Amino acid sequence: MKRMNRILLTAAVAGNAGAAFAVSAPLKGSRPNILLVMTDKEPYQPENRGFDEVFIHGAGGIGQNDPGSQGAVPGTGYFNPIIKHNGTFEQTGGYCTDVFFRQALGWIKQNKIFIPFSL
Amino acid sequence: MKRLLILPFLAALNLVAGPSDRPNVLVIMVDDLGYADMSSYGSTDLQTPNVDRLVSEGMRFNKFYANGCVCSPTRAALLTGRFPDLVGMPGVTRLHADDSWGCLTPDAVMLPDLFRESGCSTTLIGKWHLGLEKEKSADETHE
Repeated sequence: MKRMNRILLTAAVAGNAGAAFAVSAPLKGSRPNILLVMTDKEPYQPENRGFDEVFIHGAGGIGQNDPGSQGAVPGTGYFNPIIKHNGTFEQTGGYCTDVFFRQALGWIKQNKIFIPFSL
Repeated sequence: MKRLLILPFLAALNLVAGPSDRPNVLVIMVDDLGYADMSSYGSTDLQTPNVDRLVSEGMRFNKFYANGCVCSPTRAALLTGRFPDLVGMPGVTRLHADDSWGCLTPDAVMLPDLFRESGCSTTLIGKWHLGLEKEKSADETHE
C-alpha cells in the first residue's frame, strides 16, 4: 500500500511537468511494471539529506527515459531539460549545462555570496 | 549566513573565503572526468581556461583519487566522508535489482546536514543519483 502511494505521487508530479506518463511492460519475472516509471525515492532525495534548494535531473543522466531506466520525466533531454526543482518538475530552456550554470549563478547572486573569482 | 553550493555535474573543491570569518564552500564535481581532461592537467584537445584559472589560483592535487570508479559511490564518499562501501553504495544504484549496487545508508551523516546545522544555506544543482532505496524482492513487493 505504501508503494502504491509513491506511484500515485510520481504520476501526479509527472503530470505537472506536462510530460507523457506511460507504464512500460514488465521486464521479466514478477517485477511490477510500474517500477519502470518510478523515480527516485523520497527518503533518499537530496531535500531530505541536507539540501535546502535542489535543482536536479532525475536518474543517472538526462535522457535516460527508455523502459527500465531511471528516467523520471519522459521527453526530457540535453536541450530544454525538464528539471526537478524542489520536488516539482519544471520545463527549462536551453542546453543543460547552461541551465545548471544559470541556476547556480542565480543562487549565488540571490544569496549575495561573495565570490573572489570573476565568474 | 554561510552557504554550501554543490554542483555535482561539474572535480574541484574550492574553499571560497567570504567577507566574514567563515568561508562559503563551492564544490564542483565533474561526472566521469578523466585525469587529463583539463588543459591544466595535460589535455591538448580540450581547452578549459576557466577551470585552469581556478587551478592556477588554488591548490593542485597530483595524487588525489576519487573513491569510486563510477559516479554514485564517488558522490556518496564526498557527501559522507566515508568509503562508499561503508555507506551502502559500493557501485551505481539502479532500478534493476540484479544490476544495482546499493543504496545510500539512510542514517549516514551527510555533509550538507552538518553545514546546515552550522547555519549554512545549502543547494544541490545537477546530478544526485543517490535516491533509490534498496530494491525489494518480488515477495516483499507483493506483501
